[in-house]
Amino acid sequence: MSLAQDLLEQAQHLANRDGADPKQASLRRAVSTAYYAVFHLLIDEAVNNWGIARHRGKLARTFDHGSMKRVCDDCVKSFYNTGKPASELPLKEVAQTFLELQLKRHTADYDNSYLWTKADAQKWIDRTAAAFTSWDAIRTQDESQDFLLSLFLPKLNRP
Amino acid sequence: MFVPTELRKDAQINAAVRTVLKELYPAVKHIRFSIDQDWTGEWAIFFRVMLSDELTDRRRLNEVTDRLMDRMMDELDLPNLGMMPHFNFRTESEQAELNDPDWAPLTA
Repeated sequence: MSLAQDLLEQAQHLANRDGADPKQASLRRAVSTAYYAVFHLLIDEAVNNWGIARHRGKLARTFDHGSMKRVCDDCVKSFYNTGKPASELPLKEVAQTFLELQLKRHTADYDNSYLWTKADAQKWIDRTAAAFTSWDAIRTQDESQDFLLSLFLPKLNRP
Repeated sequence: MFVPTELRKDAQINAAVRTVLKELYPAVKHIRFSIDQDWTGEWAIFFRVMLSDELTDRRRLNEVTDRLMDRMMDELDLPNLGMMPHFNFRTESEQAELNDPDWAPLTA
């Protein structure tokens, strides 16, 4: 099983380990882990396109949370700007889930004033699982491969 | 929190909230929002969505919350909004236990 899949499974485990009365620590780690599941899913998919296997680890370290956010932001906005084409819905779902989870990861890790509930945490873990399914259906398409490339390329202002 | 004038689109946001709430009530009890900066300093809308305790089935809960996010994205006219919406969910009984004023329904 891939690291991304293991992280998703671990997020599920953390959200449910305390039963009906979950600890804040468990829910926070669950949400944070769900974000890293989708983060590593996209990175793994991108670097696995690189032909030289021993370079992939170094390449993976170049991915930046902020840059990935901007690319996902553009992807979601583009979907709505172009009239919500059905063919681009799965990729939009992946990008939107990444954006939501990234924000929730920050809340979970740094904002102790926010109280997580099991329903909220579980919702985002389920959403992550759905993003994995969406990605699996479109991973070989040109748009998806272009999306992966854009995740780690610097933003080009030249035409 | 000072919010730039061009982002004060409360009327547009409230209209979207009313429309979506009408569609999804009673599964969704109320929706509140605030405009704030996200972790990168970009402005965003943060929705706090109160769900009915009747949504005990996880699949049904996901259906309702996914539908709510899709409909809000549609109604908000995202390309012209200038901010990305984000959503948090809580059930009535969870709120009753937490008693968080940010999540309480607005009184008229």
